[in-house]
Amino acid sequence: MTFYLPIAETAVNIFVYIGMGAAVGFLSGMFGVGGGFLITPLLMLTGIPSAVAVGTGSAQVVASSVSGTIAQYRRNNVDFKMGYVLLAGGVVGSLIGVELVVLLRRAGQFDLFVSLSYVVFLGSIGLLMLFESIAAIRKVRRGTASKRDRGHHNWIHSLPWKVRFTRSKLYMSVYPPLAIGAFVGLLSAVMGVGGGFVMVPAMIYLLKMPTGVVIGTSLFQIGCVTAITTVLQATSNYNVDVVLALLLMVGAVAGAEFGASAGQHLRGEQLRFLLAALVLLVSARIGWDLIATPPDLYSMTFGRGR
Amino acid sequence: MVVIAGVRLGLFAVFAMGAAAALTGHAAFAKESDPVPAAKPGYRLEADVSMHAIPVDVRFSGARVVIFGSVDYTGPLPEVSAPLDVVAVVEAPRSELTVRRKSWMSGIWINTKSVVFEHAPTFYAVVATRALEIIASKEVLLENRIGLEQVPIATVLGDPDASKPGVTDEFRSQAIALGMRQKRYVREDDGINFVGANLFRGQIDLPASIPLGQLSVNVYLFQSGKLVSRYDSKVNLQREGVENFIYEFAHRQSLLYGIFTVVLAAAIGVLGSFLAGLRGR
Repeated sequence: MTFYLPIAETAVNIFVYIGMGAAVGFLSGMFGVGGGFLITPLLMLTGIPSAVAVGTGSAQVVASSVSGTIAQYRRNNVDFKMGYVLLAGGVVGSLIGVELVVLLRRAGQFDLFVSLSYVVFLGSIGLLMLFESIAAIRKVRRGTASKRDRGHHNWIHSLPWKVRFTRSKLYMSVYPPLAIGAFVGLLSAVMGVGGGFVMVPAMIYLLKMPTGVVIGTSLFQIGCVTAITTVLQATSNYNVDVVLALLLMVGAVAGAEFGASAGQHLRGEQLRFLLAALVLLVSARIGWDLIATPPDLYSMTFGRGR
Repeated sequence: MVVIAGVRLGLFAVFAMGAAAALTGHAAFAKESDPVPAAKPGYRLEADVSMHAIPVDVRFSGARVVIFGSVDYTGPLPEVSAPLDVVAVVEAPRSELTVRRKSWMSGIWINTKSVVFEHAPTFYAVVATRALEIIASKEVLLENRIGLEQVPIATVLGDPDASKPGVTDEFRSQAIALGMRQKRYVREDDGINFVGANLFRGQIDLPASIPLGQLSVNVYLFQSGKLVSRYDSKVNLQREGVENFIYEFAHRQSLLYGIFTVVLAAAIGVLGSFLAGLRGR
């Protein structure tokens, strides 16, 4: 059954995109991630123009992070104060990001930049997570429970403008979360992702927040930032396809259900290992396109580019 | 003349019924070609397309434009006549086109060179009874802007990459080749067929990704390498119904549209967590 998408301006088979939403929803339900890093490249692979893929991907992330935030809020896992600070940074970052998209597109290097961002960020985060999860699995096998040291303070904790984040049990400067928020906001606008795969490790390893609060707080921030990004994309680039977003979201809601129950059968470190493998796979796939000889050396773009 | 017209009307009806994508039959008769002075003897082309307005709704997945018509001879028929050729061109509005070339740079493929063309067609299809090169000379084709190679897509002045000789030609031919693979540029040398002595029929398939708006349809009649007669028409691809509503909403009230999309996404997210709550997660 084909459907003509009003913004992407092409006819697509709706079951492909409901299925894609379901598959990504399954994984995001299982791993507790937004799934933007899967949706946006998948949309591009299936022939959706890259600009529309980025804009629509961010709309889809809004849906999955709202439902994730509600689930985490029920467990009191959201540090709203930290969330607002991250959000303030995120707004600035996404404003810069949308401008950066315009500049890069003009220079003809947007697709390259997006691909490189995916390879670098997904690749490095994936590797970190892979090693960490393998170490954790080994520890569990040996029977020693893992304990994270929270006593050590690094240079980040010596910055000024300190604030008490009660829920996270932290007393620290607002500058690091502001910077992390801004960086993730930038990625969100450029890559069409929520940025959870960057923010979660940053919050755990740099801010030393408790892991439980990290997931809920990052989902809260991601939901807000992608909501702003979606509106910005809609007003400045006209690249949000509401019909395509709806197809993906309906699939994702259904898929997340099954993913969450599948995830309950696995242990935390096993989930992280699988997520790392998935992240590396996506990174490798995009990286391969950068180094393999492209089928078309030439590309054409219509419209006023400069 | 009267008899010919009668026969033609009958066959027009047959063609209109045969036109696969025809939605409105009356459109087929919407426009006859402009009258030419009757006194001068010679061939005259009368043609039309199956649809002048193609609705683009949620089920749009491309369309087929059927071009049909007849060739009349005004005055006493000559004893010997050279064969006739018909060429039809369907073209979408022109736009600036940036063609980029990737190069192998320190291990990865990067867009390096680019040439900007002014007024390149966003869609261009040419169908004919025979190969264009046999029908008319390059000069005649160029004069009438027929054929992809003849489309004058001039480079933007001051483009640094385009200044070297040969670069522009290379980028132009590569753009045409790429456009043909993307079905954006189409050439069919036997896309038009004569049915009997003076009736012809041809078709052009528009892909789903065609830029919407007005398409120009030009039909040319050639004999012995000379343009004898031509017929011009338009086909409108217009958004309708929900398709039109969403497009207008997204472009005219983009802020409201963006907020609406976010609210919709949030509502689906809430619904998702509600469903999860039902399962007791």
